[in-house]
Amino acid sequence: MERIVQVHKPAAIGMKRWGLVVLGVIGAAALPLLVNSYLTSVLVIIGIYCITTVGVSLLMGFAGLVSLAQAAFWGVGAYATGVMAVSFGISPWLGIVLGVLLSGLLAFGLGWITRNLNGHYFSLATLGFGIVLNIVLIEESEWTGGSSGLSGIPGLSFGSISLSGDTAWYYFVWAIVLLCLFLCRNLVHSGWGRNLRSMHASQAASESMGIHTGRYRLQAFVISALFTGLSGGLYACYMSFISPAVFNFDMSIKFVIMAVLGGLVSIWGSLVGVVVVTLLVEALRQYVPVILQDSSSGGAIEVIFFGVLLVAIMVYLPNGIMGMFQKRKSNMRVNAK
Amino acid sequence: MTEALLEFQDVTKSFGGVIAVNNNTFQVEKGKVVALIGPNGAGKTSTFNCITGMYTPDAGEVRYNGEKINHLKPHKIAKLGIARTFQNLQIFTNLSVLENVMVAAKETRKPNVLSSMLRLPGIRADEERARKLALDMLELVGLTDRAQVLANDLSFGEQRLLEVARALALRPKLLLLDEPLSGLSREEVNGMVALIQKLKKDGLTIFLIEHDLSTVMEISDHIIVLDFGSKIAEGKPDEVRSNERVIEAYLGRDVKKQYEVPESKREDREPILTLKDIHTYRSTIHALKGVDLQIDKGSLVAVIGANGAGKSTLLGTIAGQYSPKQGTIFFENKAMEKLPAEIVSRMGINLVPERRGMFAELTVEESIRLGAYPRLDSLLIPANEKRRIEEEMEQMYQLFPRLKERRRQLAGTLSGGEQQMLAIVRGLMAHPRVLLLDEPSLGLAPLIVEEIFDRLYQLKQSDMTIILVEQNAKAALQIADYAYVLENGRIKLEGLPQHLLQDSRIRDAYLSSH
Repeated sequence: MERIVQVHKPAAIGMKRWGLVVLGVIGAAALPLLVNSYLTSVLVIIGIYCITTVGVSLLMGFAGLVSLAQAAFWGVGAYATGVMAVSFGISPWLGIVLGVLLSGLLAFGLGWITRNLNGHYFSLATLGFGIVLNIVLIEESEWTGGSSGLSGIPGLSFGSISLSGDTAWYYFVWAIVLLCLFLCRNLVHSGWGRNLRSMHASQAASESMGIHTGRYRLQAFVISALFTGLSGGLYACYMSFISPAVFNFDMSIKFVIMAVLGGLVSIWGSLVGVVVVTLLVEALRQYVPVILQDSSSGGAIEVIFFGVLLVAIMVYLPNGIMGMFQKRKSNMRVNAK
Repeated sequence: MTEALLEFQDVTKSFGGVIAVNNNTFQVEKGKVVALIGPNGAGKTSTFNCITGMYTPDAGEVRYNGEKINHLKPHKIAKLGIARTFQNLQIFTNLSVLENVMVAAKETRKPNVLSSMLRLPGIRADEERARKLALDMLELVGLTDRAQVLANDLSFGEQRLLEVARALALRPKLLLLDEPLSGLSREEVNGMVALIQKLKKDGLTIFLIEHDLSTVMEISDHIIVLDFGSKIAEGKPDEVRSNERVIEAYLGRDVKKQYEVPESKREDREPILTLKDIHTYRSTIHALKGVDLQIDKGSLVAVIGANGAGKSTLLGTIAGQYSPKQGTIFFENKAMEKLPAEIVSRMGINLVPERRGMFAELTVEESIRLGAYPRLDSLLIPANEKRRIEEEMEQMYQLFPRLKERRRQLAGTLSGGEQQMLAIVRGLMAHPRVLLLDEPSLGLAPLIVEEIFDRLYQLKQSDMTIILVEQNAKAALQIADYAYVLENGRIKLEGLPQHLLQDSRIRDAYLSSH
């Protein structure tokens, strides 16, 4: 069987697909009116995670690099915003921008140092960076508040109108998510994305065709850190309280799971993965105490759950949820012939 | 006197103790087709890698257009106008055919990230230019109608063409082709030759590595011969052909091996393996469409046919890698078509796969020892068994003395021919009742092919049952007891080799000049 590759031409999306998109947008816009404020806040968090996983799936799915430092870049974005606002009174808007730049700068440095590392070696190096950064967050307590966390981070406001309430945050965050998805989608479907994917398939051939693979790798890593830094800054402002425990290795793994579960074959997969994982975690939080008659929030259960989930994905859904849909679609096409 | 486009001056490259390129000096002149030939492991691909910057020479100078390019990175060298294809195809399997070619286009080599995110008009225009260029190149090699197909789904021959199209999209001045004809059918070879000649006429300089000597002689203006890393001869095809050293190192003494050919199918033999109406699917492709086969004990049966005829699928089905949708396979009167590969292998049916399946990080000796494991029940090997394995290894070394010299070398560093020998030995260590060989001559120099086939003949004489899948039909038919011709998943012809050798249909399709 030959698989016909869809030509990536956003302009060529059929009317039917546009219809679906419009329906989806209307549905999403109406969502906070239909659910309670707890669920709305979960949806805000999902949006914030999405901005990170867009970068993760760009890096994993298209460049073939597994970074275990994403929680660290997320932390850099969050703490840069938080510390600057709390200690120096800098506007959180500026703080977010600086946090994004700082994330990107650190990624550039780390990416440069690890430019010759491939596969697992790269992952291990990023893992080390993540751990070191987490320690810095805990130890530099003068600025970061140490392990007890940093509180009192101001929220965002547009002029005199402050962004308050989960519903307002929902619209704000999801507008940014859509923008990020749009930018990333354009990027991976451009010549840039093609060159990046070629490197993933054969670095030797890619180099021989004049592609400076090292440059692409570094760019992909920095871009993913920029997105992640943005996500961190938004997280800090939304939560108003951050602590190092959130930005640890477990979170990096969680980001990877979200991207893989959604499917690395498409940028949209990151969105699907975040929704599924976050909703599962929330369900776990609700029902585990009920089943186990335990007042704990089920932290240990969560670890076990993610372990099992990761194994199950690898065995049954190696291409993630989006991959499953694409396969079904192409099978249908074959049967129709 | 034409000027040199590429110059090698005293270039040396070694790895550990092995000298891959030994103090070589030669030139490739503008507008010519120059061939680089030599036995496996002679340093041909290493020479290419020194040109393209994959390796940095230890000593000497590589000059392109008079400019020294020794220390440039591969992508810089590519930008200068040197494009290459790969011996072991390096297709971007995750991209479409068109996208594969577009990667090489200069227009989209270094797009601005921000403009790409915003899809600015400049980016779209570049993309359109790259697409046009790629389509032109695909038309040149005849793959236009495959443009939107995922590159992974192309046939082997098409993938070779795609590599050429991709290299051409760099708009090179020098094109390096690493075994462009290897693994192609006769028809595909003709197409590739026509393409090379057309490119030459358009003024492109071509430097190629190839084992198919008759074709090399036909298309090259100049031939350089390597052996053990050193240049042993160069000149016009006729000069090289008659050069004593070349004949000795590469072509072998022109003594036609005389193999005993069976007069008829021996009646006293009983069948060991019988296939009845086998249908096998590979994903959705109906690869075998009702194959009947009978293999007698102690015979060597050749299965020949073009690329994509289903030869490898046939061996894979027997070995239990693919389970047939329909039909039965009897091994000594036991039905076995439903058994998984590991059970089949323990029953004594061992496959030596097409790409040899080496464990690059094991030494030759370790690899051979590993071959004995399938027949053992536990990994705790009793002392007497250990002694027997050692004795057998000694026998294997007698069969292939080259491997003994290299027993401590890592399998990944062996030349193609040596890897093939190792793969066969590894298969033999399992004490196979039936040995399945998939394309043992693929990509090997004539002398080594002869050596390997000689050993296969020897094994057959010692009463081993062998099924040999080969594209090199002539060589295979010389040593076989019986042969089947596979075409499009069906047995098209069968018979005694000497009859098939005389069959005009076979000669036209598989034997001409190969």
